[in-house]
Parts: sequence; C-alpha cells; structure tokens
Amino acid sequence: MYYSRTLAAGVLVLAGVTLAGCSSDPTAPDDSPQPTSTAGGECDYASLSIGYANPTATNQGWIIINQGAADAATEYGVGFDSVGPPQDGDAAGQATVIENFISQGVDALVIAPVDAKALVPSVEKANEAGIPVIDVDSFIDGGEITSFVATDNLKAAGMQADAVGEAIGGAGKVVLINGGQGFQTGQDRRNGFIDTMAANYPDVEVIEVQTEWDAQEAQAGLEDAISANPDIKAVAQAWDGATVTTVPTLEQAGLLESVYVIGFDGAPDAIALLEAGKVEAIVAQQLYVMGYTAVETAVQAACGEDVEERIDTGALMLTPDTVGEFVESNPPILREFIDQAS
Amino acid sequence: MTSALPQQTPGRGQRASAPGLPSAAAEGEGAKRRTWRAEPPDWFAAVAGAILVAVVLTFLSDAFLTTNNLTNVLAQTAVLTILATGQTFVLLTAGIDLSVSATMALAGTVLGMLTVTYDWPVVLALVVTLAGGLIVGVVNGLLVARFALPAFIVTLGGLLVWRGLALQMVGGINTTGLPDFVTWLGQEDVLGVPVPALVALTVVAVSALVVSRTRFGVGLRAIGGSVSAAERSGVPVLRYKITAYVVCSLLATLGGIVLVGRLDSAGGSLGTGMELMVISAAAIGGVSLFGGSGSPWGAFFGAILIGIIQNGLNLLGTSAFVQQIATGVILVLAVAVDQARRRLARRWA
Repeated sequence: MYYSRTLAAGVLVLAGVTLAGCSSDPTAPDDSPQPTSTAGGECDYASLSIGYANPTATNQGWIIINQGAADAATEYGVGFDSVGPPQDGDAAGQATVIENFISQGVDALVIAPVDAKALVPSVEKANEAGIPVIDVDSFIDGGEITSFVATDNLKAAGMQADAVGEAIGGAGKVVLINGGQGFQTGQDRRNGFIDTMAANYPDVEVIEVQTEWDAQEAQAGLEDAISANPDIKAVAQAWDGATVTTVPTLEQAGLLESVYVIGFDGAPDAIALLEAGKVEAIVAQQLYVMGYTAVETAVQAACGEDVEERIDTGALMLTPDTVGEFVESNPPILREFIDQAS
Repeated sequence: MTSALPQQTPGRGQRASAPGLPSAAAEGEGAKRRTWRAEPPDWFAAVAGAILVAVVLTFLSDAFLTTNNLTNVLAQTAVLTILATGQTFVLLTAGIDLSVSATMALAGTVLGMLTVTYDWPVVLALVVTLAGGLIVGVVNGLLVARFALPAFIVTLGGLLVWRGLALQMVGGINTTGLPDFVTWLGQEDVLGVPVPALVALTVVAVSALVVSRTRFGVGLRAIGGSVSAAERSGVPVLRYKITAYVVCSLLATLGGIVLVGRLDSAGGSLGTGMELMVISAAAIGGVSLFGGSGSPWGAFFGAILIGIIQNGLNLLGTSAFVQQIATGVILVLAVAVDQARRRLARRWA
C-alpha cells in the first residue's frame, strides 16, 4: 500500500522527454543540482534548516526517495532533519513531527504525507508561521502548499496504456491490476490507463482487477481474470508488488511467454525480473529525483526564490534496452537493492 | 472468560458434563455423535452459505463451475485456511492472536532474505524460519499465559513488532526468485490438486483430530469455557495456553512459507491487515470468539466461503470495495445464524 504512495512520485527534469513521447531515454539526475549558481550567492545555505517529515515507510521506494532528499541537503550544505511518525500511516504522529519542526523554527518543511486530509491543520500552522511547505509524493488536500513534487500518475499511466496498445497491435484483451481506489494515486493510475486506452486503442478490452495494493489480492484476481478470459494478451499493473506475482501466475498458466507484462514503479525486484527477461517493460518513477527535487525546492523556497507550484518528476519507460542506463543513472544503492532482491 | 459458559450448547460432548475434564474426552465424543442429528455442527452456516453462493455464482458466471476455477479457489484460500486453523487453537482458549499476519510476513521475509539474498540452503533457511515462528509463539504465549497480559494487547503489539522487524531486517526490500522447493509448495499441482491446498487440508485434518480427540484439544476447550473449572479438573492451563499460541504462530509461519512460494515474492508488507480476514474466517466457521467451542473444519469452511465470494466478485469484475462490504456482511450474517442456532439448540435441550 505504501508503495502506491511511494510511487505517487515523478520527476520534472524528464517532463519534456515524457511529453515528447520518446520516454525511453532515461536522463541522469546528475546534472540537476547546481547549488551555488541557483540563488545567485545571496542565500547562506549553511544557516538554513530544512525539516523533512517522512512517512516512516520502510519499503524500498521510500528508501530511495529519502536518499535523494538527504543527498540534496548534503549537496546544498543545509541543516537537514528527517523525522517520521512512530509507525507507518500514523497521521497524528506525523502531525506532531511537523509541529515540532515548526516550533524549532525550520526555514522550510518537506512533507511526505501519510494522509491527504489529516495533515491539513499542520500545513495551516506552518502557513501561519510563514514556513514554506513542500509536499512530496502524495497530495495534501488543503492549506497553502508552496510546491507539490510528485509523479504525474495520470500521464505515466497513459504511457503504460500506449505501450500495451502498441505491443499487442491495438486489439485484444488486457488485464489491468488496479491499486486502492481510495487513493488519488490508485485512481490516477487507473484512469490514466483506461482513458488513454479508450482514446488511442478503442479495440482493446480492459479487464480490471481490483485490489487494495495487496499482492495476494492481485494474484487471486489475475488467476480469476484468466479463468474468465483465457485469451488475454497483456497484463499491466498499477504497482510493482503486483508485477512480481504476475510472473509466477502466468508461468503456472503457461502464458508467460505469450503475454506482455508491464509494471509500474521501478521496484528493485521488478527490475530484476525485467533484466531476467520475464517482464517486458516497467513505467518507472524517478524516486531519487523526487526526493532530491523536493529538498532542492525547499531550499529555494527558504531562500525566498519563486518555485513552481507543481513539479512533475516524470516517469521513464524501462525496457531491456533502457534499464541499464536507468540503473546507472541512479545512486549505487539501487543496484545493491536489485542484487538483494533477486 | 467465564461469560462463555452460558453460551455453550448443552448436549455437546464433554461440555454437557463437567467442562473440560480430560477424562471425559471419550464420553464427549460419544455424546457428540449421538446428538449429531439433533444439532448441526458449528460450521453449518459456513457450508450452507458456501453452497448458496456457489449456486448463485454458477448462474451468474460461466467461468465459476470449472475445474480450473475451483482449484484456483482452493489454492487462493490455502494460506487463509492455514492461518485460520492456527487461530482456532487460540480462540478455543478464549484468547486471540492479532499478530498472525505479521508473523506470516516475518516468516516469509526471513525465508526470502536467507535463500535469495544470502543463498542459504533451503533446508537450513526453513529451519531458521520455523524457529522464528516458534519464538514468536513462545513470547506471545508466555506474556498472555504466564504474565496474564490481555491477549488482545500482547498480539496487537506483536502485530507492530513482527512486521516492523521484518521490514527493518531487509530495509523494506522485497525478494523474488525463491528456491524450487518453496515455489513447489506454493504453485505446483499433485494429481490436479494444488500443493498449497493439500498442505492446508492436511493442516486442517490433523488439527481437527488434535482438537477433538486429544487431551490437549479437550483441555483447550475447557480453558475457554472456564479457566478455574479447567484448573480444578487438572488441565495444565499454563502449558496448554502457551502451546496454543505456539501452534498458532507455527501455522502462521507455515502460511508465510506457502504464501511466498505462491507469490514468488517475500517482504515485510505481505498480507497487511489479513489478521481480520483470518479471525473472520474462523468466526464465520462457527469458532466462538468467546472460547470453548469451534473446530478447525469451521476455519476451513469459513475461509472457503470468503474465498468463493472473492472469486465470484473477481469473475464478475466488481470493485474491491464491494468485496470488503460482502465479506463484512457475510461475517455478521454467519455469526448471527450461528448464535440463532445455539439459542434454538439450548431451547430444545
């Protein structure tokens, strides 16, 4: 479930690439930070302190996002404190963390919210104190957000639909494994896929499997979908937890060779399966870039610079051809994770 | 806990005589058999519900009543069945174990980490994984039975601790590419029957024998009826209670092994929130949440009913929300039917 939120990320640097549709060109985040040149030297980075209210999610996606955030802080030389609630999903705990940051007088807040509504009062308190708020990954539904840094899931899911439509020749049955529809992320990934498919490949029939971001539900749902429709041509999933379990399910049904499998996220275990040739493609979020960009934007806001209200950190189409470049463009920790995962 | 006594149906085995006298086991079984026709078993509502739902689904979907689909249902409910069977042992003592899905996730994560990341031989990794489950059970059991902490609190804490431990150990990284033996357990068929279903059925059958035919099983029900009465009649309450939690945790561990074999994916977020489904399965199958009565077969049929509903809703393409609503309604209905049955039985007795 967290992964979904995790994944609600995206990276702006690549927005242009993605728009152009040739999304298969992973751009390295290497060239993004130019700390000294950005603020024109007016701002004393060393005197700034940034509070990062992380979600305490210990999954692989957040580790990469958090790494990006910490690296940006190091690069800029700002004071940086990353604190999470006592447990994942604990909105009250996260509100306390934010209030503590406010009373400590941080210069900017980065919030990776565990809940869209419950943190609105905390954001309003930060607004009253005049502290800029950068919302990362998942949307906060109220208060004044200085900048929202996340993947545009609608657009990324549209890329996924286009890849499927093209791979199966524009006609046939496709299974879409949805994440929780109570989450904006889950809704966007579903709607982006369904709407794009309907618009660009009207002859494709989408069979939806509903889950609450749970791998067991995903697997059972896919098995049942295959029972009812043995002639499926592709399986697309809203998060990579489902991608990984789709592989043995198709293997059991004798369909792995013939069915096109496309994931979403770029989780290490799914990347390992892509490298092993068992998954055809993955729409990868730029998790590292998302964490990095969030803190970078917080620094800029703390210096009084204008920042964009919505920063799409973009998504990349990973295929056997592009995956190597993508992994290289990330910090070495991603390769370690992939080795650990497989 | 003693409040469970008035609920017990007279005429059911040893509970009709002195509750829980181990020596009454044989007599109890005899009594059970004699009253079989007069009183349906605990799991009657679950079986009736499953048949009803199956009939409806046969009309609604061509894909439902096929060998392939029915074996899918058996495989899909295997892990739930195994966990619900373990839960039954604890529920019989009027306890509860909310930490089962966390224990399952811990087991799966340990197994994945040892075999995939560290390339341990599968046998050694399985031994360590099962030992982990044993430790979890002993901790739960000791805290509940020896230190008299509320089972709800102990295992609620356990839910956080074991899942947190699983996530922490691997830093949230999931593993895939589990050893052949584990994926065989989760995915393969023997004579057309999925191996996970065979594992689950074996667990249920053996557990049902243990609960109905052994001194331990009779003792568990006696403890659930009344701890003081059980003590007076010589049931080793402390030892039996701890053993119940150990059995529950070990079965959760087995469930974790089968699950990661099925998914070919192991990680700390496996089966988040599944404990509620596990307890629902047992309750739907007529296992009393107040202790003292219930059978592993009830857990099995409860899991099957939940599994058929989810399967049917998947075949019909309904939303996950509807699936939750359906499972919730069935839970309340099944327990209501069960209560009504008990009341009727009491009146006739």
